[in-house]
Amino acid sequence: MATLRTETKSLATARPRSRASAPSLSRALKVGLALVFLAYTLAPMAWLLVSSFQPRVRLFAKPPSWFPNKIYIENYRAVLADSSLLSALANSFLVAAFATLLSLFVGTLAAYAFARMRVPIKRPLFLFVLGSQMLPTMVLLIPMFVVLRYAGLLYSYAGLILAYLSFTLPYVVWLLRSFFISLPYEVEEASLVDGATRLQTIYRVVLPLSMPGFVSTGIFAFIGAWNEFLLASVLTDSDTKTFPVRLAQYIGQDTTAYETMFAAGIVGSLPVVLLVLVFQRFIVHGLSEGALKG
Amino acid sequence: MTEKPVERRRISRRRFIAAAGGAAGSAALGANAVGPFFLRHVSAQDQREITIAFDSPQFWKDQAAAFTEATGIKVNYEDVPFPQLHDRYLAAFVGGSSDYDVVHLRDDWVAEFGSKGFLEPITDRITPEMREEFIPNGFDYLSYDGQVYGVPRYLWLWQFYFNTDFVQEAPKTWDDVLTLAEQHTGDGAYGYIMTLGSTLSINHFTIHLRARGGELFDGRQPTFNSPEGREALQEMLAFIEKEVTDPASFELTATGNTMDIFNQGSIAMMLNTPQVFASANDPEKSKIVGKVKVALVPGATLPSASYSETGAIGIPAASKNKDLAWEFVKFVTTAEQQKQMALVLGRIPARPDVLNDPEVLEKYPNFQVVAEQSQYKMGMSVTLPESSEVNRVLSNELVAALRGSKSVEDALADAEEGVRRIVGE
Repeated sequence: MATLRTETKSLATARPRSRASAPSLSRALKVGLALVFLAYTLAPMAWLLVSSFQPRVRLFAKPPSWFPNKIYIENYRAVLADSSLLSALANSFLVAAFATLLSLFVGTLAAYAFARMRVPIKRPLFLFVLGSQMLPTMVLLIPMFVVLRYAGLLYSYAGLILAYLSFTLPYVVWLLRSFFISLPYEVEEASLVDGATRLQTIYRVVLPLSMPGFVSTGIFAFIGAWNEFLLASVLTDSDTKTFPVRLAQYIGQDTTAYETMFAAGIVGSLPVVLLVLVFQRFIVHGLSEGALKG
Repeated sequence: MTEKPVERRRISRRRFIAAAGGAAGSAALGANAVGPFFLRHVSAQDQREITIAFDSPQFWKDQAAAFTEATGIKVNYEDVPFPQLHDRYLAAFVGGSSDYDVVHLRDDWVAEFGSKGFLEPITDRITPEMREEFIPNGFDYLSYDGQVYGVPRYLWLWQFYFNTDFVQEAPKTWDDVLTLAEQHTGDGAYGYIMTLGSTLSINHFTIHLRARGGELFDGRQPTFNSPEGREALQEMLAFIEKEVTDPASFELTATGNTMDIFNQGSIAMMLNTPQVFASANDPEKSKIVGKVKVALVPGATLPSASYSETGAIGIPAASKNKDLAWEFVKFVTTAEQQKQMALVLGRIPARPDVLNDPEVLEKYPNFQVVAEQSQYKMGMSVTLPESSEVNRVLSNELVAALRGSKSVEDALADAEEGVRRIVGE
């Protein structure tokens, strides 16, 4: 919204006073559209939040109630008292964090090579990395299960982290390559001329310059790993299951415990919301600077 | 003595992020330090233990603990969300895993897994006395190609429920239901509701078809595109066209969701599964406490017909502890354990002696009609190895007819063609 305000302000000042009504109409239209889009995007989350504070019997009321007549906190009490849910949250954090860090480490080097270095069959290789993103996860499920089983990593954190690299790593390589290409090569050349090694150049020059892209890529990789369900539902067990799998346990054969599931959903989304808030500046810059270049 | 001035240090954002990240990482690692990071399931070879993967309700875990106490055989219980059970087993079976010693089975899973050799036949383990102890046809539902693969634990029987605020006496036929539904639709209320999402339209269609003596399949031959089939679908369509059915029916993908709407008190009648009675009489979940009755499913040319699934238990072919697993199967299907299951979970027990137990009937009066209902046709209607594909094609066509985008005749003809293509008949 801040960006929008700045943009509209500069537009307004750039135009002659006699034509002031046109910008104000344009601004009203933009704000109106933004509000509609915001409402469309936030409505499900608002509904989730409101429902998490209602007893089950009110969830299916006709007409539906957007404003609970009283705040009902029993759902949250049940969620916070459930140690398996908190353990699943910790598992999710562990797996998503390791998958993100590993894919950033390996992906940075690979992306730099694709962006700057002479690599044999570079283009087909890069297309292969991108192409691996096109495969539906379902297709990879059984092969991954078999590979991890023979590797002795089935149901372990390490196994799931490796499985997650299958989608976080290509994503990181793809995005970071675009960021690296957008940087002026002269800066790197200067660093190399001054005697820095290639790795030092990446660490001291390229990465600081592409920090917004680096951080936002990492956050999106983290969110992808945090939310992943299908692989985790098969490659984990009771001890290693992640939050989305634990959340699905509210869906039983008899019925779905929506009220507790909603409260758990809110609790489980807090870490990601917090992460995005903290790194908001990087995400905005990262998205606008180079994500679509190259 | 002068005090040293306190240096006010601002915590930079970078420092804050690093500290927060470090703290969260440490917490996560600390919480999981007890679990091995790399290797799982390393246990002593001489230990008597089995592994089960099943649904989450606490009762099943307590039952496993009771088994350990009674036999000394340790049970590793993997709780898997019910909707994920099938895929979880499939991945393990296809991946050649011997991790599971006991699995949950449903009638159609028996055909799917049994036909591929993933399940251990238990025909020879079942004694004649054991066969007598369970409901008639109980083992037939769990057989494929002449071999029994599972022992029934509970029945997932579709029953007819009505709200006494609207209907005082149970209707006998589907024509009666339609007439009553017309009378009680209006002022925000609907006479009837169906569960037509996912592939559940097949269950409704099966019940209407069986009430006319029809069946979906004869072996692998589709038989639903028949005069009885067209009448059955036309009858369902009448409930939609006369606008006596809650329009939400098309969006409902689980009987539990339909139950939640019924519990609000604006629906007169519905078909649903055994969990309704307890839920509708729970003030935390329902506005119709004490107003729900259950009856024999109405009929058409036959007095009644229903649909049921079996909740069963079996042993994977790859299990390395088949004898221990069989001990578990026998334990959880004893009368004592079935009674506990019925009382705690409200599941319909697969043993008639438990079904007629006064304590069970007192707590769940909806079980009283089960014995009578089981005299008529029930069981699953699609139990082929290709069930998943067949269900998808058939339900799409049924819903197309019910939404009015296809005629009943065209929908059933297209469904038959699609199904024949899948099953190769």
